[in-house]
Amino acid sequence: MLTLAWDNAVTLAAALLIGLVTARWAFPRRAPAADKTEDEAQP
Amino acid sequence: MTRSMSRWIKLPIGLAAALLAGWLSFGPLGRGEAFAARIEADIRRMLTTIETPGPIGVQVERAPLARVVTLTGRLGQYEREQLLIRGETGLNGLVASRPGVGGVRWANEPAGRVVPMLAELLAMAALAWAVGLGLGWLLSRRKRREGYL
Repeated sequence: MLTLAWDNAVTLAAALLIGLVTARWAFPRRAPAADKTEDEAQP
Repeated sequence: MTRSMSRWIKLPIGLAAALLAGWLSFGPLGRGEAFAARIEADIRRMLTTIETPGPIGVQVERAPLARVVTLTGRLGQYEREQLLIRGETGLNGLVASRPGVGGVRWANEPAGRVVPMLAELLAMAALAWAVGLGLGWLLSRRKRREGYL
């Protein structure tokens, strides 16, 4: 299993990166109250 | 309508992208087949260094592609499972100790449960994605807190 993981290290690194990007997309940084985004301004 | 996408839709999309990357690498880019061929070559090379009563055939499971090695040849149960060869118990133990091998069976034995290599890789890709997601979530939380200081 470890050999398979090592052999596919680049693919797994890509999956990890996709996870990071997904987190940034799904859990965006909340902007300060003064300049709320359009999404947050909605009720 | 500019209503943003829910995070419960974004998360499955991200996971699907990670799984797609895993599948592309394994199938269309040929890494799965190359891995199986490497295991076969490694075992064949190893078999040339030990004495066997006759030729031993080596075949990595291809339907589905799995880390299970099927051996063929005239070898008794004792040589297969008990004879000590280089500290391993039988040829089965010796082959199973090679890197990347998940299981060993003989062609005349009934096939057991086989975990496809693709399933293993996709499970690892999903885990890597989850780790990345967790890291990203932690980083976004930290930055958010810093913003309010």
